[in-house]
Amino acid sequence: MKTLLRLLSVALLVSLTTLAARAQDLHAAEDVDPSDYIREGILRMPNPPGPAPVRDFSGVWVGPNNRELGPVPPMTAAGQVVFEGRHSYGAVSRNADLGVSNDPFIVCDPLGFPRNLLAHAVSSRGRFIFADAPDRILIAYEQQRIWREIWLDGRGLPEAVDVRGAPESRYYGYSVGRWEGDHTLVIETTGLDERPWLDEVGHPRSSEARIVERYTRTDEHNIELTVTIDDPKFYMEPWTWMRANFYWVLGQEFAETICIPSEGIQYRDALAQPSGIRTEFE
Amino acid sequence: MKMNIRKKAAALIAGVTALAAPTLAHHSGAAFDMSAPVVLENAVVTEFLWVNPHPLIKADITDEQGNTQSWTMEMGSTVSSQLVGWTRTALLPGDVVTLYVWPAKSGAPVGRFNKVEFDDGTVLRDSQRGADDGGRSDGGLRQ
Repeated sequence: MKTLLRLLSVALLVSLTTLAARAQDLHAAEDVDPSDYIREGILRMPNPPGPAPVRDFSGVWVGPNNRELGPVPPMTAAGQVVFEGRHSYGAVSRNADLGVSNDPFIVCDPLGFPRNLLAHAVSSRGRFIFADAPDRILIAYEQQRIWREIWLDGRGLPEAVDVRGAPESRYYGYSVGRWEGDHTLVIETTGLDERPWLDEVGHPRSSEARIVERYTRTDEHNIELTVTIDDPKFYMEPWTWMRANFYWVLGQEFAETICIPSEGIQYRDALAQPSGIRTEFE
Repeated sequence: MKMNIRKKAAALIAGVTALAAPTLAHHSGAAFDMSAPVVLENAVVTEFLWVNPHPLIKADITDEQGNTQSWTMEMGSTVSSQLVGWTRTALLPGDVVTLYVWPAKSGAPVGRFNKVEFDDGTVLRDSQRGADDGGRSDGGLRQ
């Protein structure tokens, strides 16, 4: 590999759950018992899960776990044009002629929805909070400390954005939710700004995309998520973009993980350049 | 304080080969000489930057003639380092420790951190390249 892409993105790493307790102990590394974890950095709850509460997701969760990304359907000509202009870290590492990746997160531009669900920069997962607010549910993500509002008051979604009389597009779109039964929350999102990538590979998603997240709380400690995308501007057909699970966070603590351009520059100057590593901050 | 930089020739071919794959998520290790770590004995920590994409350890070593050399080394991300026992205050300016570093091929006094030995005998390792052969040392917690 040749060019090394160093990203802040990387950077970002999701501050996983962590050994919160153990991490406080400077020399505790030898004490780690893998059986305490359901996944890397995710502490197992000491008690078996009770039943899922009724219409209540409030609390701190970590994921995505057991993530499966569905096969991306054929793109439209418009989608293909956008996609071909994007050079992911992976593509650049396989083909040095592409130079440095143009993944926007490298310079800390917003991940946007739904890429933020991947929380993929390094650890592949992160924590978030479901919280109730008047007429809506808030979802706050520790990576970049961003949040979404999911309106439950029956309002509709914008049919168009960025045209006269319509609202502006947003990195995280506009979202409304509804309950299906007592344990499933369905969220629909539209009105996305087209700049963020859909995924690490650089697939596009348009302002016409309609993205549906279906969260089902299967028990006290577990949520299952299915995300489907219908984006006729860029894709020939709708598809299931991701399936994943989320797990209850022991201790319910929430971290702070932020992509910070000045840290990337500091890294470039102190280590990358003296080592001969290329960075995006050049 | 004495200066004692010695090359520790211990690398296992197999271990180094194993590194090629997914050890570093964001850049390859091609910039670093993974054949043997440089050992910085009696290194005085001057700065520990708990930042992304990689925390940085800065430390000085001084030889018997009083010449000081300043080293900078990167380690695994804050998140992954926490998983193997690190915190923002794991190293503080003034700490005197022994540092093991995979040196940059460029010849500059920079590199990829391997492990640190404290004077009480305890060791903290890099999340990605903390094993003595340069491989992972995180106890199999990773997928």
